[in-house]
Amino acid sequence: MAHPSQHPPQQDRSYWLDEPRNVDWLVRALYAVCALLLIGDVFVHKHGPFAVEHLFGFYGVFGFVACVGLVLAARALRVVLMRPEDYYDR
Amino acid sequence: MIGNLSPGLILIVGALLVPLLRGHVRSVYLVALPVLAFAHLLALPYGEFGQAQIAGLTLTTLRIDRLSAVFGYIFLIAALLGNIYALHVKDTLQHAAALVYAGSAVGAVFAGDLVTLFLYWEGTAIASVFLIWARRSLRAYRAGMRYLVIQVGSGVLLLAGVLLHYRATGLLVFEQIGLGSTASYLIFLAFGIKCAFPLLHNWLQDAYPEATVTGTVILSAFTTKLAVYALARGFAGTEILIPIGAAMTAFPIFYAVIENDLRRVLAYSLNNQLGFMVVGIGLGTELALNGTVAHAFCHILYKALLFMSMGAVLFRVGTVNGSELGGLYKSMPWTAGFCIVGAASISAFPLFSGFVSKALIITAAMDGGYFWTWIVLLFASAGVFHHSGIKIPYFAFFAHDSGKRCAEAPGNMLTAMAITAAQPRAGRNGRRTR
Repeated sequence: MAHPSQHPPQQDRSYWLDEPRNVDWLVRALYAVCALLLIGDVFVHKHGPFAVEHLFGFYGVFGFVACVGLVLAARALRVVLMRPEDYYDR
Repeated sequence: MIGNLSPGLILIVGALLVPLLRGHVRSVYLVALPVLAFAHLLALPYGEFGQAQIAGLTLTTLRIDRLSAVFGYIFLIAALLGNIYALHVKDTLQHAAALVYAGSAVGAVFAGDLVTLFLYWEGTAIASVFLIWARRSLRAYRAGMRYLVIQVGSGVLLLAGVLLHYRATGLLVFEQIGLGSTASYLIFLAFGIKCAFPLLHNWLQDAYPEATVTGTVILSAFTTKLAVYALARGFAGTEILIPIGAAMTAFPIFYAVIENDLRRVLAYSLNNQLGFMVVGIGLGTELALNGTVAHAFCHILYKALLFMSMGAVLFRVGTVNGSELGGLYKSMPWTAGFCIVGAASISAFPLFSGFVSKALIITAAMDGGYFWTWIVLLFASAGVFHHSGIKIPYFAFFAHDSGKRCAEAPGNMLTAMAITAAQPRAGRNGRRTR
């Protein structure tokens, strides 16, 4: 059950994230951080036992492929897994 | 006499007084009770206490050692935070049920023998269902029934296993069991149900999102982590737990990606996080077990924080369906901020708690040379970042503006979230455990 406020906020004011320019700026900053981390991979000494871990950019590429693959796989699995929201109420 | 009292009993017996109290007195009482139990626990030395003779059996109702103490601490912290989060609730049933449930979980962790464990094990099942039924809808009633049947089923299997174990060995002490006899498989299955092993998991995602706003926060802390404790105590180093745990980390994330109810998404990710702990128990090395206990500790906090933030959204907006939300950071900036802290922790972002505890378990898997387990854990880490780290805060607080405007969460909810958020960020919680 909802419990709305007794004092709804007055005028909707404009927020920093409402400005598309600021969102673009944030996304570019994110790209920059990703690029820096990838470059940083050259300088990090890794001492894990598995060979793949020592490949350049392994963790970044693995994370990206895993996330994209997950979404694609989940989209395909929708056909099999998805149940109506009132599944148990029928 | 008081020295032999389980800290869990302070909460259980204390729950009896809740119906008699009202208003501020009740609020103070609900905060003071877990604090009192915590102080009592701190004052107790390591050792075995509270021996009782029942029907010719010697029970040890209170065993405090390094493993049980950590779980006792975090359970009592979770009870305190959950109570603060629920202070605005007038419903006596929910407060009493939460206390009995938390008390039973604490009592179970300190059980030195299998009969005491069984009694508290059933206590958690029976008390917790009222947190679901307290929603007082037909849907919640049915979900609660399904939940109760499975939980009590776990208890019956445990009892059967304990009886066979006693017949075969004449012992009731709860120590390393290991797989072998029929009794051990029954006990393993009972623990596995409560730990939501793959194919035994469905009760978790089914029931938790149907509980009340505050009930889900309480539920998220105890039942499954009690099972993690029981597995760590009875089945550390049991290798079959490694593939079981690895499967647990991976399969729920596919469901989480397509789920719309954001509290159900969190229930799937709870299941996935339990997988890390189960892998750690299966590995059984000192590093792995330390990682498991540390991860349980951190996980209780950040998962409670995430459920608190989604509970606040449900409380104010009336829904947690991702498709109906968006732009709520404008109305609930503090809740959004706390949610992001929880999201960063579960995603193992550097300087947040999950980064430390998850790394311990993954490193232990690497040290053991478990290549595919390591790959699956890495995949699951990316997956949990995707659905708990990004999806939860994005769909609720950002995304496209749903136009919904509401008030910020009540003061007691914000206080609980603030205290919880301060702990995962400390990032060192579990380092010196066990």
